[in-house]
Order: sequence, then structure tokens, then C-alpha cells
Amino acid sequence: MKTCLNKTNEKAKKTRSSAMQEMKRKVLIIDDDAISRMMMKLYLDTSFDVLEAENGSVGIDTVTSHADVSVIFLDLNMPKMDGYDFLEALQKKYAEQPANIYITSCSPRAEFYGNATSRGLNTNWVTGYYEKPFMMERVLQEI
Amino acid sequence: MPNQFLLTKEQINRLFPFYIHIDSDQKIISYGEHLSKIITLPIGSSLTDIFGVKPEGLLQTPFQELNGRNYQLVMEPKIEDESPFILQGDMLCLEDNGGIIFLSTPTFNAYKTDSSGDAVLPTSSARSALHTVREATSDDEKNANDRPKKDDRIGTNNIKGMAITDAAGSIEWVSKDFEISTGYHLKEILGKRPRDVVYGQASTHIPSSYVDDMVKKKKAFSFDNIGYNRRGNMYWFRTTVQPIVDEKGNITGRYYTFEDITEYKMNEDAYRHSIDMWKFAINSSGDEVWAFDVENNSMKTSLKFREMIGMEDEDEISFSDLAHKMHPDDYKRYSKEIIPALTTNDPSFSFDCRLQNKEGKYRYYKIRGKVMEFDDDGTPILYFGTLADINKEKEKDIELQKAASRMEALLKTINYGIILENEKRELTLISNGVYDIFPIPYPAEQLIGYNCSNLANDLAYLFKPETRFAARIDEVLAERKAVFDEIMYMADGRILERDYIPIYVNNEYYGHLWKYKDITDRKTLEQQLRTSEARLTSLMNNFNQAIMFEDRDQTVLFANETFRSILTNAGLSGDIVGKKSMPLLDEVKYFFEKPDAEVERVKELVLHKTAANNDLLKDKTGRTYKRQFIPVIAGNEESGFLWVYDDITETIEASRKLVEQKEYYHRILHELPSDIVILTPEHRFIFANKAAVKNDDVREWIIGKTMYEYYQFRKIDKAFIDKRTAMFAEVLSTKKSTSTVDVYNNPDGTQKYILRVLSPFVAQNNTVTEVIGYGIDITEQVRNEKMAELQEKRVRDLLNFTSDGIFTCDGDLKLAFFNPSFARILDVQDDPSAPSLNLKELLGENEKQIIHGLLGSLTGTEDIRAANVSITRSGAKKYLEISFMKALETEANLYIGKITDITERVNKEKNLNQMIEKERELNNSKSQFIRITSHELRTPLAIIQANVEILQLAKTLPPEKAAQIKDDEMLSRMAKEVTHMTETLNQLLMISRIENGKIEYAPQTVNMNFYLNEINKELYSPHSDGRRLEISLPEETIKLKIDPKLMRHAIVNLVNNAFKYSTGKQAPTLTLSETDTETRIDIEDHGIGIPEEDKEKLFTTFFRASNTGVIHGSGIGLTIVEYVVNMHGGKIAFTSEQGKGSVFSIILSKQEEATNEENSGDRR
Repeated sequence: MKTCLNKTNEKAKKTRSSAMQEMKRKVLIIDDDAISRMMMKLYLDTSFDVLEAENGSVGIDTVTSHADVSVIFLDLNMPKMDGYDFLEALQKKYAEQPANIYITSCSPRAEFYGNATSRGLNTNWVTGYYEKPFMMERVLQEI
Repeated sequence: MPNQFLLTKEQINRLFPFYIHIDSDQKIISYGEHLSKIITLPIGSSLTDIFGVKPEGLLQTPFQELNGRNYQLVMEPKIEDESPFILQGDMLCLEDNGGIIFLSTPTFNAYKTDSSGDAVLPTSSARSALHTVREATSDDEKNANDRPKKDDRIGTNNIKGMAITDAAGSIEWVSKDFEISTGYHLKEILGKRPRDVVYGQASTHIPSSYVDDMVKKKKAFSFDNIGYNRRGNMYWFRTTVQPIVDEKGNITGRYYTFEDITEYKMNEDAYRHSIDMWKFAINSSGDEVWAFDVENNSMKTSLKFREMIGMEDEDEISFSDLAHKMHPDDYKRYSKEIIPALTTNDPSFSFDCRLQNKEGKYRYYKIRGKVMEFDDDGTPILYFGTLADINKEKEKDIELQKAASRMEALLKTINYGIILENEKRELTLISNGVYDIFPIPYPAEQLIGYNCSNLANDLAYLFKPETRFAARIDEVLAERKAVFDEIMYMADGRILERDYIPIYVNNEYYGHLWKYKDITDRKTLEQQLRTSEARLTSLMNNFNQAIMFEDRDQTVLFANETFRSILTNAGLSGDIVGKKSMPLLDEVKYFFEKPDAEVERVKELVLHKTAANNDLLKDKTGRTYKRQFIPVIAGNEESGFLWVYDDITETIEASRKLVEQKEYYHRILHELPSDIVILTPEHRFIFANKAAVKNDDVREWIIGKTMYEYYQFRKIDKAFIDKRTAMFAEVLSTKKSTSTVDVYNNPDGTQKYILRVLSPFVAQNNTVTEVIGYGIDITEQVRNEKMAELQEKRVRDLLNFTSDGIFTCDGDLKLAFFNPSFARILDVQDDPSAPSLNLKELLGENEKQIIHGLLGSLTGTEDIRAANVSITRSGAKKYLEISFMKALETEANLYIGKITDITERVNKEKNLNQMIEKERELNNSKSQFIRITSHELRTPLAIIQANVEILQLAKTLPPEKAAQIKDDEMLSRMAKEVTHMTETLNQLLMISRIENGKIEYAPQTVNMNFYLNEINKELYSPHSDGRRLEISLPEETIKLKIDPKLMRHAIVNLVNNAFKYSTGKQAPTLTLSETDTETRIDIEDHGIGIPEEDKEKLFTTFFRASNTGVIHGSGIGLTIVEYVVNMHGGKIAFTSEQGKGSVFSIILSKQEEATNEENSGDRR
């Protein structure tokens, strides 16, 4: 009776685990530096479904095609479309914040907020800011 | 009511609870149960022993005579101390000697009355009697079934019987006869008020509230009412209400009795009416009554009759007494005319005669009589008659007759022509005057009875027009209305005035009277009078005085326009001529200030009839009138009064003003702070004001005295007097004012200055009539003048000593005044006598405009406007602060200006500003530095960190994954970033050294060809991105004196930039070239180029062009380049096109190569 019960529990656990596997949250890393992306991916891979974009433009496409992206790591200084342009495009496209956005940049935090505000961006969409170099453990904890 | 007494005793008791049955001997046989409760009647005793009975004799009347008839009987118990009730009711004789039965109703008059006749509490026996009745009736209720059935009830014409109610007046019990007479059964009316039952419709009765009130006061009372019975006939009944009171004095009920008194009331009325009628008839006839019995020669008369003839003491008089009183003439007439005329056919007479009254004088009486009886011979034996006093009428008649005859005589002799005609137009009287007017050929006696219409025709020819006369007479007669003062013109020029008066006697037309009067003279006179009156009136109307003339009865005869206008002002309009003046005055008196006093005064004047000229009176508007009252005497009598009112308001006002003015000027003269005297040319005082002579007595004394006398009086020294006398003489001779200033020493040591002026008053004939002398205390002015002098000196000193330039100028900047400092600052000659200087000449165009702007913006004297300007004088630039204000409010074109030399200050400020700017820049670049460096250092660090983390993680990864990680690549990447960081740090170090001025410039002559080749070999063969620098050197060796270390920084920087910004493009080129004067190093790339807008700021530290994008850079490099090149005395230049590439050139001068050394430390 007891074994039987245990078996059932095991089964339930398994089902739940696989369900969780399927339900892995999607994370998008937008950074022109491949090493940075790789580093972050290595950390995030185990618990998240990691997507990458080497600039803002690719980032926008990725967000569009993956509506279920829940976290975005965004570098600011990028060729083609930088972080500011990406935010602008995103805020034009979506009425509401589609995902939590974390800025990862070498630029000081204050500089970003100054520039973003002067460009008319809604900085409320920015959930967190990590000044490069940063400790990935801390990031993992927070998200 | 049937005579037969068929009812049983019980039935009688029910029907008539208060009955008494007696036998023919008046012995009591039985009586009602209820009655027995009030009074005990011993059976067999005599009724009259117990009761007093009214009418008394009734009971003595034999039964036979009473038989079959009803009588009202009233019985009162003969009780000694009190009689609580009476019994009232019908007496009924029973047949067959059955005795008499009284169907009585008790009325309790048992209330003691007080002195005013009001009933008070009932006596105890009465109280108990009433209680007994009440109890008895309640017992009776138990047997109510014995009462007659409804059908048995009768309902008589009138109401009678009894009722008992509770305290509030609601019926509890009624007697049988009440039921019978009203027709209501007790059951039907239980709880109703008796009045509602008995009064019927519409009756007059006293209010129930009054009845209630009386009952509450425990008062018994009765009242008579008119009611209507059920047949609708009016009847009278008397209601008696008695409160029923128990032993404790509480009201427990009411006892009502109703009694029919209609007949009595009717009789009473009829009797009273007839008496009244007769009284009235006799009184109004005023006649006295007499009766004469011829046989007994006795005359019965009313008392007044006898009083008339003075025989009031006698009871009877005889005919001879009367005959004796009669006037003998009248008695004869009576005997002759009256007595024989009395026959059986006409036995009455009326005879006016004179009777002697008690004073013995005869008065006229009218005796009217009628023979009542004749004897068989036809001789009167009994007269009745009246006597009336007609003395007044008789005397009037006689008086009238006399008057008429007098009048006739008068009319006949009167001057006027009087013609009297009767209603048939027959002439009855013609006066002598008629003959004076008309030529009538017949004497007056013959004309009596002559037809007057004929007479009129006879006389018509005398009038013009002829036909008018008779026609007019017919007209007037047809109207029969009095016509007065009709003017008629006669052919011979005379003028007649005619009156027509119809004569009526008792509204009946009796003819008429014509009165003719020759008024020719009067008319002429009138004409003259009217003319003169008109003249006078117009004259009067044009008078300013108000004139009114009245006759002695105070009827207004005339009032001129002024008078009428005053009346109009007083609120009285309309013509006043012909009206009485006193009522008019009453109407307008409130127009005057003192209405009643005015009325009194007028009455007084009229009463004394003495002329009065000086009455002053005021009206309410404040105007003043002077009144003249003149009684006008004609003959010895005053014929009227003349009133003249003169409005003297203006006169008074004018004189008041004159006095006021005089006083005013005197007061001014006295009040003036100056001492003033007026002198005659002889030097005598005419006037001295208070300031001149303070003592009032002296001032009075001085008038008429000479000035010399005054000075003596004041003990003034001779020299002063001489001086003043000389001055006076001078004024007289020159006829012009002269003045001197006297200085007096005050006790406190200060001085007093008096300006003495003597001024002649020159008359028209050019002689001096008066000399006016006055002194004015000018101490203050003198003091002020001195003060002003001092003030001016102070200002002058101030202006001389101040370092500011002070000046005045006009709007065109033409200088009027300037102080020494002004001259010094502006470097102009300090010479007040120099020709006027214009500030404009000292200023540049710009400054002139600024100053004109200042002047234009000034708003008032308080307003000061300032500006800073700079001028160049004697080659030196000066900064000035210049300010202006308006000198005076009144003078628009005068300005006060001030200039301050602020050159020093401005220079200081400039230096300070420069320092501040420097400091600011420094601060700015420091924060910029920190910001940029942090970013520039973070970027490679981030990459390194990422790589390191990956490498670390790789150890934990499964081998197949770890193999994917290219360790070498990552390590070289990290090395590259380390190099980058090192470069950045070097640059920072460099800049830091530059900023601190710690760069040592150590020039040495360098073979540039070799030098550049070495750099190329070392760094760019190839460059880290793999490309090679294309270097182009001249064939000839170029030698330059440079600091090779520093220059290497510049060149490497430029070349590195060229590579950095042209990634993936053609490799950069370095070209060394030389001209006669300079050496150039050109570094060309084919990269992104520099946007046009960024070119200017290119050498600014930390500036990076907008198109650098993700290309790393600190913005320091070009600063270093510029600095190094400058240090070498050269310059850096560039050309660039965005998207195509740039050329940076280091240009070093050959000649100045050596001299630049000295500036090396100066740059930052």
C-alpha cells in the first residue's frame, strides 16, 4: 500500500518535471560580443531557454518571433542597432513591456538613464542594470 | 281642560305633581306627591291659612260663578322667616261641588338677594325643597311608563311647565304640562337643552353661555323670551332658571319653569302704545285742554291753561274769570260773532283773542271749542276745547303788516324807479323814481292795476334798440329768475341799470319787482376810475414791493403781482381779490418763519389801526421782508388797510457782506504775521494791527498820535527816530516804497531781522494820502540764506574732493559743469572758463548710443540709470561706469551725471572670470575623464572577465562541450584587450602629465625617414588587424629637431586611428614631404570619415565623432596629438569626407623650429 503510494508520487514528480522542462522560460541575450553572450549562455543554459542576438535589430526580430521571451539582457553599445534604438523600437511596437529587460553595459548606469530620458524612452521598462564586468551569479539570483 | 275631574288620584299625581285639591270651604282635601315633599299641608286645614293667595278675592267668589272658568292663581306660603317658593297655576272648579283643584307649578324665589338685588345662595329650606323636587322627579322616572303615549300628547300653542336638568343643562325630567304643551315625550328630549325644545325656530333669546354663567354663580334669574310655537305663531314666555345646589354647595342641576306670558305682553304693548300715542299727540299739538259746564259755570282746564292766565292756584275757574282776562275788544267780538254762530249744526268755533297773563300783559291765544251738549232750546250747556298760545305768530303778522306799509312808503320815495307787478302783470306799486327816469303822463294812483306789458310797449321807444326792451322783458319773465345789474342804453344816451326780482311766497309766484336806476353818471365815473385804476394797477404791479389793499372788513381789494408771486411761493395760487385776508393768512402762515407770531402781529396791527413801518419778517426760504402797514383814512374813518411788503433780503445780504468784508480785511490785517501801520502824510496813525502794537489799550490810544509820540512813548533812541523820519520824508517826496532791514538782538544771543517797508498810497490826484508801513520778520530767510551759502560750499567741497567725476549736461551731452575728478578721469582740461565741452566728443559711436538710451529711459528726478562703457584716452583703454539722473523735474533738458573709473575693477574681474572658467573646465574634464576612462577600461575588462569565466566554466563542463571552447582564441582575445587597456592607460598617463605640465620637451635632431620607418617596422608591418601601413618617404633624408618620444605618440595615435576607423578597407597611407618652409607628415585613411558638424570639436579632449559607433576610443588621442604638435611649434590640420576617409597632417615649420622651445611650458 505504501510502496504503491510512493510509486504514484514518483510518477507525479516525473510528470511535473517534464512539464517544467517544457515550460522553461525564454531568455534573450542581445550583445555584439560573442564571448559575453557565450559566458552568459553557459550560466543560463541549465534553467532557461537561451536565445541570442548580436545586435538590436536581430533582437527585435527574435522578440517578434518568440512572443514568450520573458527576460532580455541588453547591451547598449552595438553596431547596426544599439541598445537605445532597440528600446525605442520595442516601445514603439509594444504598448506594454513584453519582457523583463536587464541592461548589461560598460557604460555607467547614470549615463544610460540620462541618455534614455533625453531620447524620450520609458525607463520603467528597464528592470535591472548590470555594469560590465558583472558577476553572473548575482544576475542568476535576481532573475 | 274638561271640568269633570275624572282622573284617579294617582293619575293626577303623575300629571300634576304639585296639585292642591280643596273643597268649597277651601279646606285641603289632598295635594300632589311632589308638593308634599316641599311642604306639608295638613289635610282639612284652610288653604288661605297656609298661603297668601292672589287675587285675594277669588277664593271668596261663590263656586257657581267660577264654575266652568279657569283662573290663574298665585299662592305664597305664609311661612314666617322665609318663603322659598310660590305656587302658580290654573284653578279649576270641579262640577258637582267637587271642590277646586290647583294645577300649580312651584317657582322657587328662594334665593336671598343681596343689596344690589342679585340672588345669592339659596336658603337652606329652599335648597332642600329643590332637592326634594329633584328626588321626587327621579322617583317619577321609574314610573315613566305611566306617562301618556305618544298619541295622547297634544302640543299646545304655548309652552308651560317645568323641566329639571343636570348641572350642564341637559334635560333629566319634564313635567306633564311641559310634555303636553311642547308635544314632546320626555324620552325624546332627554339630554337636550330645554331651550332647544321650547324656543322653536328662529327666536330671540339670551345666549346659553349667559345662562350657564349665571348658574355657575348660583344665581336664580328669569327672563322673557319670544319664541315660535309649532304653528309658527310668535308668543312670549317667561323662563325661570334656578340652580339646584346640594348641602355642600355643589351645583347638581337646574330647575326650569316656563310660563306663557303672551297675552300679558300683548296687552302691555297695546296699552303702552296708546298712552304713548296720546301723549305724543297732545305734546306735539302744544294745546291745552279745557271743558266748560255752562249750567254750573265751571271750567275744568289743564294746569298749564290756568298757569297761562295766572290762575294756577285755583282748581276750577268760572267763565267770568276767563272773560275777565280777555281783552275787552276781543270779548266784544266773541260775544257778537262767535256765540250766536254756535248752532247744533255747527257746534265748533275757532277764535283768536288776547288774554291777560299773570304779569298782566296781553298775549294772543287761539281758542278752539266744540259744544258737546245743547239744552232743549238749542243753548250750549257743555263745551270742550283747546287753547293755544299764538302770541308769536300774531306779533309776527302785525310786524309784517307794519313792515309792508313802511316798505311801501320807502319804495315810493326811493330814488330808484321801482315797479311792482302782481302775477297777472298788473301794476301794484310805482315809485316816484320811475317818473324821474321815464316820462309817464299818468299819476301813480291811476296806474295801479294797469297792465304792465302795455306800459312796457309804451316806453319801448325810449330804448335803443327799440325792440329789445319789450323782448327782453318777456324773456326775463319767462325765466322768472332774478336778474341784477342789467345795463340798458337809452336813445338819449342815458344808461340804466335794471334789477328784476320775482316774488315768491311759500313757493308760489306772486309777481315781481323791477328796479330801474339811472347810472349814466356812475358809468362815466366808472370809466374814468377804471382807466386810472388800470394805470395804478400796472404801476403797482411794476413795484418791487408787494402791495395789498383791503377794506376795513379785511376783504382783499387789490394785490399787485409781486404780492401774488409771494403768495404763489407760499403755495397759494388763484385770485385772492374779494376773499377775506385773515383766512388767507392762515393758509400761508407756515410760509413764514414764525407762523403764529405773524398771525398775531397782523391781528394786532389791524386792531390798533396804527401805521407801522418797521416790521421785519422772514419766510422759510430765508428771505426777509420789511412790512409797512398803513390804515387808509377816508373822511374820519379808515376805509381799509394797505400792506406793503418789501423783500429786503438782498439789501440785508449786501450790507451783511459789506460788514463781513470789512471785518474780514481787518481780521486779515490783524492776523498777518507782519506788523502793519497806516499813517497820514502828517505821520499820524490811522491804523495799527495787533502785530504792530500788541497792547490793546496802546493800540487804541495810538490812533491819531504821531509816530514821534509813539516812539517817545516807547522810549526809542533818537538816532532810530531820525532814521525813520528821514525814510518817511523820502517816501513822501519820491512817492515810492522804501525799505530797510532792522537787526535786533534777541535775549538768547540770536538775531532777529525785520524788513521795514514804508509804502505810499498815491491817490488819483497824485498826492500821497496815506503811508502804509509794515515790517516782515525775515530772520528765517536770512538764516536760510546763510545756510544755503554753507550748503553750497559743502557741495562744492564734496564735488572737488570726490574721486567720481560729477557733471551736468543737456540732452545733447553738452557739458555745463564738471568737477576736477571728471577732468582727471576723462583727461580733459579742468578749466571752467574753457569753451563748453561736449561729452560726445570723448565717446565712441557705441557709447553714445548707450548714453542716449540711458537719458531716454529716465522717468523722473528719482530715477537713476547707469551703464558701463569703455573709452580710449591717450592710448589707454578705460572702463567707466556712467550714471545719469534728471536734475530737475521742471527742466527736461538738464541732467546730472556721474562717472566712475572702473578700469581696475573691470580688469580684476576679467582675470577672475578667466580663472573661474579655467577651474570650471578643469572640473568638467575631470568628471569627463573619470566617466570615459571607466568606460574605456570596463569594456576590455568585461571581455577579459567573460573569457575568464568561460575558461573557468569549461572545467566543469562535460568534455564534449568543453572541447567546443577554443582556448587559444580566447587567450589571444584577452591579450589584445590587455594591450588595448595598456594603451588607454598610457594615454591617460600622458594626458595627466600634459595637464600637470610635466611633459619634458627634449628635442634632438632626428632623421625623419629613419624615424618613421622604425615606427612602421615596429608597429605596422603588419598592424594587429593584419593590414600593412603604406609609407611614402622622400628620397632625400629629412632631418628635424623633434622630441622623438613625444612625436612618436602623435604619429602612432594618428596611424592607429587611421587603422581603427577604416577596418576592412584599404590600408592607411603615411607620407612625409617637405617644402621650403615646412615639413609635413600626412596620414591618410579610407575609413568612415568625420561628419561635417563634428570637425570643429575634433581636438577637444574626450570628444568622439558621432559616427564612431562601436569602435572603441577614449577621445584622448587627438588632444595628445595636438599638444605634441603644438609643443613642436607646428600645427595639425585635417581634411575629411564622411564615408570616404580622412587625411591628418602634422606640419612642422622649419624656421621656427628652434624658437618654439620657449613656449613649451606655457601650454597648459
